Amino acid sequence: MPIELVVPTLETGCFFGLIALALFMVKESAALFNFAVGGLAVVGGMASSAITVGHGLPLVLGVLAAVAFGVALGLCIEVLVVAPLVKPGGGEDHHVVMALVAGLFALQQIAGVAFGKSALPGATWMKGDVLDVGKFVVSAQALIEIAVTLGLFVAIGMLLRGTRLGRQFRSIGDNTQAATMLGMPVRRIRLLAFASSGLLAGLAGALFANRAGVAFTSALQFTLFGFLAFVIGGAANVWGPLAGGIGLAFLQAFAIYYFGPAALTYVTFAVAALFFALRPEGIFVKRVRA
Amino acid sequence: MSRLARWRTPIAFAMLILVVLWVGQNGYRQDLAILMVTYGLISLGLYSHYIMGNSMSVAYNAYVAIGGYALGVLCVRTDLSMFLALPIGIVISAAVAVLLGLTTYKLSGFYLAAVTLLFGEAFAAWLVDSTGITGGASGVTLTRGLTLFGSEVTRQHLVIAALVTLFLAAWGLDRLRTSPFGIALRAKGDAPRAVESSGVSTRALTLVSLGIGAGLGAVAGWYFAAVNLSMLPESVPLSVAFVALFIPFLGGYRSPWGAVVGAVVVTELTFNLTWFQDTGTLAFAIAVLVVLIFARRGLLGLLGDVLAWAVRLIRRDGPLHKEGRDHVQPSA
Repeated sequence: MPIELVVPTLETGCFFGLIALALFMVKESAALFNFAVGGLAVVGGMASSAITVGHGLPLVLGVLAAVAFGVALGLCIEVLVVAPLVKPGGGEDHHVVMALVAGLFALQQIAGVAFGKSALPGATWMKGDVLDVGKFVVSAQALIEIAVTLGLFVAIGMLLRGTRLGRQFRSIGDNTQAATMLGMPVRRIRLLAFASSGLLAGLAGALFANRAGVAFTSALQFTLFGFLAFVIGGAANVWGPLAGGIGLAFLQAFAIYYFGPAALTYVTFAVAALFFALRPEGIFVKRVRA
Repeated sequence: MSRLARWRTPIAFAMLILVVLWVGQNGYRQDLAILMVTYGLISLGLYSHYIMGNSMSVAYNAYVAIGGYALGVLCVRTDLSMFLALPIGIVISAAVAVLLGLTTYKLSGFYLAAVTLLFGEAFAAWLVDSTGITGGASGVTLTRGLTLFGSEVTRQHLVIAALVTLFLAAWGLDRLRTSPFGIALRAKGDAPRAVESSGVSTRALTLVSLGIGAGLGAVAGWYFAAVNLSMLPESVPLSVAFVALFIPFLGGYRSPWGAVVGAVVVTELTFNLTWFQDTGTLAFAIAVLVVLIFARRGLLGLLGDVLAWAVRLIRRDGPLHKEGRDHVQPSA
């Protein structure tokens, strides 16, 4: 693969990684897959584009709107969709899964009605190149995307590993029933998890929208690729989703480069079938001392 | 059996006659009817393995395409009767579903849905790629009309046949649901180990139900192509399979007739809703969420509850009950 494709592929991997991290936050703390993340990313991306590119307002307002929409809609999903359906012991019930998938569908349609049916071009956060060595070019935008992604992963890793709140997140996700019996704030943590999931997805949408624009119909694909990145990386630690996202992006880039654009869907399907069937726990697995 | 359940088939038959009369020769209504049949057959297909057997396999854009392309390819490349495309499409799509089922047998829930959705996406890309077989992006256009015993089959005939097929498919699945096969399939969805330990192969149950679903999808594709006289890669996009996933829940998952009710509602909302432009699909999405949260048995369940409430109200306030109440009241 030519070296000039490495950075764009890394950017795509970071996007998949952030969506997978949004899934990870809810899975880790509520033992649920928040399938609506794709919809949250689309709303974030389109809101940011509409504000910055559409109305010519400052970039910071667009980013803030994406994050605010993400957090607010994430909370709405928890309050309106999850809380009425989830059992006291937590876990995934048939109806909860369907309701979250329906939430994704609803968010997709809300984005289409609110921001239009055409794809919106995203705003560039910073123009120009930072590094230009022969064919190896790193744009300032790419550097920002990668830096923000790494910063978020480090921050969430530290939060989950090093703080009391993080330990609460993990323990509730491990055994919601036991956590409830011990009097832990299960509902509050679940609300925080959905809010942080919305924040990550909304920011991912706003950050990466400038690469190919964002259309309301992309929501399902975002969720599918994020879910695939999550499964490939595994849930052993916070870096699993990023590894899964980057791995998936490089596989797709290889497929397109060597076999043409149609190979993207074939390879993605093959990777999903192989991983889900042979290693559904992902590359990084939680180790427990015997 | 509830009061509503006993009357479901006669009510559905009466509705079928009314719909056939309503459609008549009106082209727009025929379009509505064929869209409703397409959604209905896909939802019934999903009902056979997802609602009854808990296998969330959703590659229905592929199965519908197989049915449609079987008709198109047979029409363009051979002189054979175009009705032959129907069994050919059913067999091919069932075979594809069984192969996909064998490779994804260990998967369940959204893992299975994700893989089958990605398969559907890969199949759509293959349709565009395989120009030699499918006509690529231009698809296939039917070059001759359907004939049966020398007589021409008109669009109206096809729409009526499609509506009757939908009725028969729902009726058949309703019967299948309470048959030994259906009971084993439903038990497999809830407790697969118990079914396996009783000597019934859960793998065989899953594969047969997936084959039934794919076959119904192919029938939908055949009608779709026959009525529209063409089949394109984007005729049945992946989003249709995604939308169809919710239809049985909206209509009511406790009976296959719920899938038909859901198909009517989704057609009305996504195709015929003109009171507020472009929001039909959003209205459908919100309706699905509301039903999933507040009326888990769907619209049919809600209708059953309303009827039961009305019957209770009539009995309590009716003349017979009043007489009875007067009879037991002590005289002053």
